[in-house]
Amino acid sequence: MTLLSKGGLKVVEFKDIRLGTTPISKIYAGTDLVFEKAAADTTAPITTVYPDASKTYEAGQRVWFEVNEACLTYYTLDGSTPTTNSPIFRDTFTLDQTTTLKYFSVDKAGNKEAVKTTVFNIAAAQPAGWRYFRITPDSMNGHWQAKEIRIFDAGFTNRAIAASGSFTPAADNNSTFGTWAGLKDEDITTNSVYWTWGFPLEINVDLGAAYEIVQIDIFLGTGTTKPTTGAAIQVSTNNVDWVDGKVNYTGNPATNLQRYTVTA
Amino acid sequence: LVKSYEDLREKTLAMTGFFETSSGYPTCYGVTSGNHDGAGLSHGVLQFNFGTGSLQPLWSYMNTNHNQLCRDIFGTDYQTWVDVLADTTANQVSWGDSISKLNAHGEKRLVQEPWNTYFMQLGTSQESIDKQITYSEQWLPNAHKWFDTLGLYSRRGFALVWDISVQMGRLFSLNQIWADFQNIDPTGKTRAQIEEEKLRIICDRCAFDNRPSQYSQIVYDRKIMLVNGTGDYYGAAFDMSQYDLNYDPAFKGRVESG
Repeated sequence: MTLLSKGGLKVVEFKDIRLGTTPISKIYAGTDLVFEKAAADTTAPITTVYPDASKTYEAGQRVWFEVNEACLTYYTLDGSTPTTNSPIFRDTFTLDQTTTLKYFSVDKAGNKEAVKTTVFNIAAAQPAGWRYFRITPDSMNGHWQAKEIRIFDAGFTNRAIAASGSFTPAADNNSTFGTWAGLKDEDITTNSVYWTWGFPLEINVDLGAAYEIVQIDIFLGTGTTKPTTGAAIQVSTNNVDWVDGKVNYTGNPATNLQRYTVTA
Repeated sequence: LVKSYEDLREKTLAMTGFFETSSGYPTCYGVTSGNHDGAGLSHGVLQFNFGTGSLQPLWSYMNTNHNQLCRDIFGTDYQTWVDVLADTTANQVSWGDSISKLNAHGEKRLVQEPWNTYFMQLGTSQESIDKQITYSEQWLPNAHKWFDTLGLYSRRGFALVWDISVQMGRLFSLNQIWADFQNIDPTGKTRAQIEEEKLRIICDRCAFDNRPSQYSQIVYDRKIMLVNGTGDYYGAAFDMSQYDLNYDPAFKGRVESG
């Protein structure tokens, strides 16, 4: 029981009142309820880690914990089981490599959450190699439909490539162009993409982190005239500083395949 | 010593109404702003709006339950208003935009006449005021939950979490706030001083939480003004004393568990 002085008034403050060993739940002054012990909290807090750990992030990703009630959140980043001697979560932290987070929270009533484990996947550092490329045909006659464009990374494996990009053509009323969004797989298939002499088609692709272009195959559809030469390829590591690529052209008009092999 | 719960609710709603409308009672219940934020129209003490779908239930309630009042207010424009209420949200926002007009700063914060007058009459009717107070109850559960879990006791503490509930609808940093509370040194401090220290921590953590927002500073300025008691809110003087939301206990006979 605490006696406070407040604005000239004496205020009695009750906290955890007992009659002997018996806790008192309510005290009335006349008919006024002046003390009521709150119901005991027996529910453990719930901690959630953010952002969504089902995705893969780049190095430097910010991570934090959110909870459903006031509590202290303890955590480890080395895979060990956290205890109340582990660091208390106070501010966001960053992860530079794939990390196993273990954490739990304890509320003010002492309710302890079971230890949770979340693995945060951080992608390997971006390679220094080319992640961006663009192709500009230097000489073509007639309209050519690029039926299919395939981009291969160093592994030539069938893993997904999280590429995005766009066709940025010069004006060509005979063409319709789409935007690549959320490209998956190493085969990038497009339809109704036309190249026209004098109206070069520029293909811009960002393969995202962890991929380096080594080969680009372009399959052409029907057309009135075969392309007479190859194309100029420019590559970039940052989408800003473009340089001419080192390209071996092995076009095969018979199969409508143009293959540009990019060497680092 | 402890004022009624009804008093606490009325005062906290009026306080938040000031922030939402820059207006006092009863004007705050009828203030309508134009489509400056993509919400179409925002109306009333808590700026219920088309965009979030919070305005349609209020106006539909008024039209259904106080139809003659609505007909009297809108006159020959009544059917236009009713048709808008029955339309899609996108069209409601679009209509709100069509009757919005620019203020001196080039923002669509104003509403063309006669609609502005209609909405003021409608919103300040006692029937609408009563309903707006009832609608404000949806933000009470969060306010109570945060007040209790953070161990606050004062009317000002309740005012802060109430305003967070209305403006943000979230308080994700409860573990960080609680960790910060552990660093408060209570030595030689009154209960009110400790409470104020807690409120300053909450202001900081709720505004600058782990989800960066372009509105963080705006949120912080509003919340800390509430704790400081006075301030300037977009040119309007805020004075907490007129709302009687001080460091007296918010509720009768309640203590923390344990």
